[in-house]
Amino acid sequence: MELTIETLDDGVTKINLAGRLDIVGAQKIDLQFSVVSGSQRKVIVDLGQVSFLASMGIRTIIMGAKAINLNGGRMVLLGPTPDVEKVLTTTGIDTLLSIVHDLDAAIGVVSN
Amino acid sequence: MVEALVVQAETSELTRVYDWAETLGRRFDVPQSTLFAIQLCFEEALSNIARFGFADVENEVPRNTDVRLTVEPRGDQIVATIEDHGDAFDPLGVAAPAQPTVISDSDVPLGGRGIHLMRQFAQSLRYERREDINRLTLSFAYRGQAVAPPGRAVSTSHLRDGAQRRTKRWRAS
Repeated sequence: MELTIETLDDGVTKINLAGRLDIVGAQKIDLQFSVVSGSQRKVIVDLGQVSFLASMGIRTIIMGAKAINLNGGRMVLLGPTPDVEKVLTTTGIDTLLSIVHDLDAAIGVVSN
Repeated sequence: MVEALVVQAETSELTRVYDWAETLGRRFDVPQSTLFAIQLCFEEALSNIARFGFADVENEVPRNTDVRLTVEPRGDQIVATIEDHGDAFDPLGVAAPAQPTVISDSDVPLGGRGIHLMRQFAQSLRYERREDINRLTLSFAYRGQAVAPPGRAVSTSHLRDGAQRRTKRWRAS
């Protein structure tokens, strides 16, 4: 599991995740993910390169989203694969966080 | 042919489980979405067993922490089993998690979604308790069939030998 951080215009931060967001992957990125979530208000989480998502990965995402929300910000999920998106919709995460497949749409969501 | 793998009840074993499942997936030409579902159920089951399966403090004797996984192509299904020697636990007895609709709701849980995922990604899920063994039997689509849509009924569960259901196991996840 790899995590890289991209800074876009207008204070938007993009977290790029790649690999398996399983229990091992979640442990690997938890600290970095929470640091970004605790310090940024407009956060796009790019899931396009995430090949697997399990409940511990959802936990990481929800912890971050809660922290961002407490700071008055928003998180959006970008470009999950069909299997990963099914995990998100099955668990109702799509009702808590927007899931979009286009970067411009993602920027729009966090900038509103 | 039944393929089997024995691991310890530790989350660090998951990498070995994934590699094994990937190998079987290629050998049996399992559709990618089915392999995803199988790995998801193995992860949720094994992490649950590792974190909560041996919490019964009254049982102080050394316990068997082997977890035996099997995968078997059977007609148009892949049948998988997970057996452990932990405390009796029927995942079908656990209610679906609450699903608040706004992230600002303090009731949004961090965890507790594992069983729900297993129920939704397996076509069927059956639990048995025999002697000191929990046995989960799951089936998945094979031969190009789509994974069953959410909302269908799961098969009836049975508790044997007077085993006690333990719901506390999932509350801390």
